[in-house]
Parts: sequence; structure tokens; C-alpha cells
Amino acid sequence: MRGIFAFILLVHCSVWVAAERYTLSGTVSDAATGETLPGASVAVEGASGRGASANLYGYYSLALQPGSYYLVISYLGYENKRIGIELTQNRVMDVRLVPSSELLDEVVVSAAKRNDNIVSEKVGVEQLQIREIKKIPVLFGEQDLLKTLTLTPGVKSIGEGNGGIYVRGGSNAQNLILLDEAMVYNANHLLGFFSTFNSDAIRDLTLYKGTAPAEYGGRLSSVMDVKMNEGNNQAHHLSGGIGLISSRLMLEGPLVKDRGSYLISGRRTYADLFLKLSPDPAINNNQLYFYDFNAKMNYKLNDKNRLFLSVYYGRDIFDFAGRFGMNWGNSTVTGRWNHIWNGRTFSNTSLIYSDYDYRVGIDLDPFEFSILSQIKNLNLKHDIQFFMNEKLSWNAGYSGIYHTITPGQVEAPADSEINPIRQEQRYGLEQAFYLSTTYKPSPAIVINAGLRMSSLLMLGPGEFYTYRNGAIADTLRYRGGEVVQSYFVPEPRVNLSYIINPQQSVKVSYTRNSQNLHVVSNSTGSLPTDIWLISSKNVKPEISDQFSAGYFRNFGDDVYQFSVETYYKGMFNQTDLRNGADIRANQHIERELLFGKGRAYGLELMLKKKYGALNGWIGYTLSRTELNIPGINEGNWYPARQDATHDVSVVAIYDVSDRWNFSGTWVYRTGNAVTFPSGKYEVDGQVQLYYTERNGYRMPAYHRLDLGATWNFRKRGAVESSLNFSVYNAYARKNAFSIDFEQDPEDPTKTQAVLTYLFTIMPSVTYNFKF
Amino acid sequence: MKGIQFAILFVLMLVVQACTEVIHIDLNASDPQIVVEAQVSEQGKAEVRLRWSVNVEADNEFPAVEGARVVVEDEFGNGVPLSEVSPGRYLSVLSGAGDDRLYRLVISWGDRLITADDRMPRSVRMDSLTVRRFRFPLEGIGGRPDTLALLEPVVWYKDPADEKNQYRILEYRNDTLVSIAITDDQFNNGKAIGFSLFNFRNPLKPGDHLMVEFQAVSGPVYEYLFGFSGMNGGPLASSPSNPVTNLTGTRLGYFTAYTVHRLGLAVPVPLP
Repeated sequence: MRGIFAFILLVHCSVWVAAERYTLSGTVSDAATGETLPGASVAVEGASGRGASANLYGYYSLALQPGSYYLVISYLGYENKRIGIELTQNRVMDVRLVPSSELLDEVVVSAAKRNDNIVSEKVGVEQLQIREIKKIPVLFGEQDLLKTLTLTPGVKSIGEGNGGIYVRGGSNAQNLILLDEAMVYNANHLLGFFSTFNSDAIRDLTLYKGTAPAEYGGRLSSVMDVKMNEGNNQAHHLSGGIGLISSRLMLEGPLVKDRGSYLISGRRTYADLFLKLSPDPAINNNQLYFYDFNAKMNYKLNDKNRLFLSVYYGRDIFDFAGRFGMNWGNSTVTGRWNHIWNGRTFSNTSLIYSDYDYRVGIDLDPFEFSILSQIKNLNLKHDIQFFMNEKLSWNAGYSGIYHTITPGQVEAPADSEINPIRQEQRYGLEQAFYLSTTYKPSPAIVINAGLRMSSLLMLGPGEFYTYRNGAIADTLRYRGGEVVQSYFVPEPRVNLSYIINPQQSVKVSYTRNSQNLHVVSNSTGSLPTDIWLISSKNVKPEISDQFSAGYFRNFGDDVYQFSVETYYKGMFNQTDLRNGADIRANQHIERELLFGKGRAYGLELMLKKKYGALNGWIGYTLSRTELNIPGINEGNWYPARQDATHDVSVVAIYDVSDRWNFSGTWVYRTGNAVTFPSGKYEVDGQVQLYYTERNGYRMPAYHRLDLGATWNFRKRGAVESSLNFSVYNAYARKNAFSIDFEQDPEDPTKTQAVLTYLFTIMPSVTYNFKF
Repeated sequence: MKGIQFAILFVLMLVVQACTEVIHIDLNASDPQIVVEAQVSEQGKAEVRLRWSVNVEADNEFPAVEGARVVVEDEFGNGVPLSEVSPGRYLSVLSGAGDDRLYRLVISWGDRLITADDRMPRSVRMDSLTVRRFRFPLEGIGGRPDTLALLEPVVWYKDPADEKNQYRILEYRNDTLVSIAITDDQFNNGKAIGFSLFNFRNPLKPGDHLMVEFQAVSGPVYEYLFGFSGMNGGPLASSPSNPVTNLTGTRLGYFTAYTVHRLGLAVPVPLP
């Protein structure tokens, strides 16, 4: 611990005073709601490339020589503000931007912001604002960040009934999903038909599929950083939506005007309420729903200190006549303290709790038991940003996460036919120190380099095993707090950006990531029953090295944005279950694992029209993802399940007037890799299928068209409302959920392939209101 | 857990109306494999069936592997060659057989050699076999008005606490095999167990003659049979694969050395 303090002290004390420069700093926020605007641009007029971007908390800092300047502060969807200043000393200047009306949007957005995709050093990043995605049609009319994310290049889903998201060939468990910094272990409700993110409570999502900043770590494939809305600190508002299978309600307002605000939002599905209509007690006694609840509060103590509290709680409930029940869900709590040390040094300290658990209960006397499984962590983070001058800034910090995993505990009364099973809890301390810098040696070059030093300590108490050839080789007992196993992985990362001119740039990046929390699953659906493991004596940290490069080009006054990105990712210490593994309450689960490597490479094209009455994008991905795990497929490389050669998505939004807007999306994807039989045989009177190569076949191609329309009612006083219509799968494509090989009922000597599909055409309507 | 799989399918049924359609898929041809179904009981009855696998598009007619030399022996040197009683079916009785010992199977066909070892577990016997009315509150499922009258055969046994046990339970009705179930003691070691042989699709009827063959089987055999239960395709299973066999020399089939205990009863008309 002493080392941590020394490190923090070192960073805080290293505030070099640069000669004859003054610091201009402050917070950029929304004039109507008081919410901060992360990423807002503060540009010095007439000095190309001089300026700053606000950080995640809307805070900016600029070091300038004494003099008179005009500053242009801009943020997408807001009117620009031009401010003249006389800088003769360090100054704090908070800026409030006025939201532009939608029609003004295309007129006032400044060039300084419009080519952000060109001038920022970021490569392999997608950002989605809830405001932008609200018009995109979705299943059951329920706006969904994660579903929309899969419409961008390099991000795939496998299909309905599988909530998994696969970024640049990585598996679903290799995404770090953060909600206000808290880890979300299972981002799905209802087996993947909905994500855990209620769009009312969310402001935006940033996906890093290439190089993420050094403050993020712990997963191989991507970081999905989801931020909740802060709530309006000017006035109280109530808003909500009523849909066919779910409804939402949100309340927001000032805690103290201008100083703090709160937001509370909830939603619940009620598909099961239809079951109540049935006269049959066997049906109307069942429950099947989910609900979730988001709350956020922030309070500005004074000009230098601000506190935030974010809470999420969500639960899926399934109950079958009181005899069989399951429920599962995430909960997260994030407390944050922003502190401005001086005009150039900004810090954030967070204390975060996150957990995910599932419970199963069965009461069929004497067959009576319950299962509890849980994973949770407590995370302390400290992050310091130091803005040295407009050419150089530093970012350093520490993260310590204490993991506790409770594997499936079976509880049963003494007269039950089932024995209780106690599996030992597992503990781990995952720590990282990081340091990164952004350096702009000239207006055309941006270098971002960082190093994250990740370590994992697997801690006792408990009995720990090592295995050799599937048998226990060694059993060792450790006391509480004793280190069972430790790993250390230095993770360098670098982004280089060369701005050829304001319309085009070239960027390259390299990053190494490691992952110490592994997921074992014997299913491909989004089951709540996945097993989590910490790196141990048998399971080594997963490691990936990714190289990527991109070319970015804007046309037509930045209205059209084109990009091409390519990547190669090598993945090591990848795991899979051996054939025939039994993972039910198995305390020797690590014995069932096989270890190997993977590789993923691809090309991503994107053409985006960002402004105008008609906007949207066309994305295309050409990619390959393969695994090589000795013990599977006779040791040969085979395509990962999520491997899909071609992936196309088209998104179009058309604002006809301020009353009507229409939208449509179309997706096409090569069917995912799948194992089909190549023969059949008979054992014990049953015809069985004979499998040869792993994932040697393809599902039929997946494609789908969704359409949406929104009618905005005339505003009545403070009341705004709208009706949203959407049609999912408009041309009723029968996309495969699964393909099974069964005996032909008409000719029992034959075997036939049976395709199961979940949805054909699925219309929905939602009424939204705000006052 | 089977319950969880069931629950998830049930959830899917409620949320969406899944539909199915028969489609055509071009599947690769595969080299025919020798499929071995080999068993020896504690009474020494040794039976081996050898057939070839075929392509998926072919009819379910599996050619016999004829003219093989098949031997079954135990670790005490008792051994017997099996004679081919019909094409691909080899039979004999191993004298001096018994439980709790290792058995070996050796098959040679042309220049192919297939072998397997299996340890016959200690015998476990049923305490009783009963029939009761089905109590699970699933009335109305699948539109069955007669659900209330369904009968449930239950096998009662005491699991030995001092060892890992696996069982295979064969249900015969009127001398016809109707189902094969497997279970182990992972969740109920040492308990007195009532194992239900309830069958939705084909319920037991008053007047049926019920016979249950209760087998204790080895861990590897259980794992092989378990491989068919969970991994056989299906929407939620991971990549399907061939169950892990205890045979060497071929990939398909298995060799089981098992103990047997049979109980039978006539289901009364009407049920009391």
C-alpha cells in the first residue's frame, strides 16, 4: 500500500511550472440541464490544432501564453459559443452550451468538431449517443445500445436468442462492459433479447475495439464504456414510455439548483401478465419478467470538488408455479470524487462495487434444493490527468480490484434426496498501475503511448489443485490472504496519428491486453449459468496482441465520413472445454479445460453521412477468427463459432419534418461456423450422429430488414410525446436459431435437417412522453 | 442441469413462438467407421454388435461388420471367444464372471484392432419398484387432458456412500424396451433415492407389465452415455462432438461391464 501512496504523491507533486504560460480551465455543460459534456471541444480561433477536449467529466484545461484570444467551444448537437478572453493570469471559465434544435443542427456545427474523426488520435473506436440511436428500429420497440452497437463494423452478434457481442473476433466474455466504471458481468436480460442498459438512463457508449486508453484493462477484446445520464440540475422532469411488452419511467431534477441533480429510472417487462389471462392455474401461476432500476446523483461541493453516486440493480425472474424458480441479475454501485488540484491537474477517485448472482430453487418434495452462485468485486481506482500544455498531457493511475467468486452452492434440507454441496470460494486481487501520455509534436501528429502494469494475486484460503493428464497431480492448502499464484503482465499500447490535411488522416496502433477472469460455458446461448474462474495454477492469464491501422477521409464539407481499418489479433492461453466435460457443480472444473491460441484478422469499411435530414451509415467487415486448441479438431486450426466472413449493415434515418421521421436498417451476415454431422450410426437402438471437423459448416446467411417511424405530437405546454412504430424483420426472413438433424417422421429410415427460427415479422408500437 | 435447460426452453416458448421448417443441407460424406456396442454382465453374458456408420443422407440401414474375431476376458484370466450368431452379432458366456473387476474386449477385423478396458463396479440392487400417480403440477401442458391420470414408475435404491456410482436404468413394458435413463450420485451420494421413470409421451397404463433392469456402470461408460444427453446439437448446446469412448481403435461405440438387478410388476387395473 505504501508504494501506491508514494506513486500518487509523485504524480501530484510533479506539477512543473512552465514559463510564461497561464492556464485556462473549467467545465463545459449543457445550459438547459446542467449535465457536463465530455469530449466537448475548446478551440483557439485562428490557431489550427490549438485547443483541448474536455475529459470524461466535461473538464478541460489549456495552457496559453498571455494575450487576447477568441475561443470556440463546441459539442455535437449544441450551438457553438465564441468567447473572447484576456489571459493575464490563471483563469477558471465554465462554459454552458445551448442545445441546438434538430433543424439547426446541420447549420451550426462547426468545422472544428465536424472532422473530429480525422484529427483525433483514436482508432478502432465507436461512439453511440442515445439521442442518435433513438430513431433506429429495434425488436419490441425497446431501444437498445448493445443491439445498435452490432450495426457497426467489427462488432457482431450471432443472432436472436444469443445476447453475445463479438468484437473483432473476440468472444463475448472478452468484452469489458462498464456502467459508470462498474463491471457488468452479464449485460443481458431474458436470454439476450434485451440488454441491461435502459436507454432512458444512459447517455452514451464508447466502444474501444482497438487500443483502449491505459486506464482500462482486464479484458482481451474490447471495452464498452457506458455512461449514465447525470440528471437535469435546472428543473424536474418526468418521462417514460409504454410499449407492448415493457414500460419505462424516469424522474430527474435538481438536488440543489446548479449544484447537483438526481435521476431515477426504472423499467419492467410484463410479457407474463398475459399469462394471467389464462383460466388454467398451471399457466397463470407462472412468472417471467425482468426489471431494472438506475439511479444517479451528483453534487458539486465547491468549484474544486464534485461527488457522484451511481446505482444499478436489475433482476430477471422466472417462476414455475412455485415449484421451479430461477432469478438472476447484476447490481452495481459507483461512488466518485472529482477533484481539481489546480488548473492543470484533475483527479478522479472511485470506489465501485459490482456483483452478479443467480439462484435456482426447486421444490418437488423430496427433490428439493436451491443453488446460489455469485461473483462480485470491490474496486478502488484513482486517476490523475495532468495537462502540461497543449502539446503534452499525462494520465496516471491505480486500480485495485478484489474479486470474490462463489461457485454454485447447492443447499438442501436434510430430508431432501439431494445432498448439499459446498464449493470453496475463490479470491483474487487484480491490480494495475498505468501511465500514459498524449503528445502532439506538431499540429499534424498525435502520439498516444501508455503502459499498464497488470498483476493478479490469487489468494487463499482453500485447497488448490494442479492437474496432470486429467488427474490431480498435487493438492495444496493455503491460509486466508496467502498468495496461491501470481501473474504479472506489462501491457504496452501506442497510437500514432498523422493528419495529412483536415480531410484525411492515417492512424496506426498496437496494444497488448490481458485477462484474469475467465468464463467457462457449455452453451452458446446467454445462460445465466456461466462459470467464472480467476487465473490460477492451471489457468494462465489470457493475452492478446493487436495491431491495427486506419485511413480516414471526409468528403463534402465533412458531411460524408469514410474510414477503412484493418487489424490482426493474436490471442494466447485461450480455453475451451474438453469433449464430454461435465461442468455441473464440479470443483475440479479446471481439469475439464483445454488451452490453446487464437488469431483474428479483418478489414472494416465504413461510410457515414453524419448530418442532414437523411443520415446514417453503411458498414462492411471482412474477417476471419480461428482457434487452435490441442485436443479439439485433432489439433488443427478451426473457425471460431463467431467467425463470419462478410458482415454488412446499412442504417438510414430520414427526418421528413419535425413531426415525422423514418428509419430503416438492413443487416447481412455470413452464417456463423457450426458443427454438423458427416455421418450417422446406431447405438442402443438410437440413431446417433457422427461428427468429424469442428465448426466445418456454416449456418445459412443471416439477413434482416427493420423499419421504424416516429410521430411527434404537437407540444402542449410542457408536455412532449411521440408514438414510435417499428417492424422487426420486415420481409419475414426465416433466420436460423438452430439446425437439428432428426428422424424424418414420415420415413423413419431417413434423417432430415430441421431449421428453427424465432421471429418472422414482428411489429410493435411504443408511446413515449416527457413533461 | 437438466432443469435449467428445461426452464430456458420454457422461457423461449413463452417469449417467442418458435417455428420449424425442414431444409436441405449439403453434408460431406464420411469414411465408414466401425461402431462397437459391446457389453458383459456380471453373470458373464457377453454380447458384441459390430456395424458400420453411414452418411447422413443414407437410409438407417447400418451394414454389419462380419467375420471379426472377438474376445472378452477378465483380469483373473477368464476369457472366452464370441461366436457370430447372426451377421455382426457376436455372443458368448464368460464363466466365472463377477462384479468389481476389470474386463477387456479385443476385436480384430482384417488388420484392424479395437480394444477396450472397463471396470465392472460393485453391484447395487434396487430396494423396490413402485407405480404411483404423477404429482408434478404440469397439468395442461401440451394440451393433454388426461395428464392427471398419468402413472409414474419409481425405482427405489440406496446409493452406497463410500464410492462414486453411476447407473443405467432400462425400462421394459410388456417385454419391449421403452426407455433408457442414466444417473449418477454427484448430487445425492449415500441417499435413499426414488428415481422417476416418468414418460410424458408414452405414459404407463394400467394393465401393463413393467420390468426394470437396473445396471451399475463404470464412470467412463456413464460419461460416454452422458455425452449423448447434453451435447447432441440442440439450440443451447455447445459445439456437438462424438461422446468420449473407452474404445481404442475406433471412435464410435463403447464397451460396458455392468451389474444387473431386475424387478417387475403388473400395473393393477384399476390403480388403487
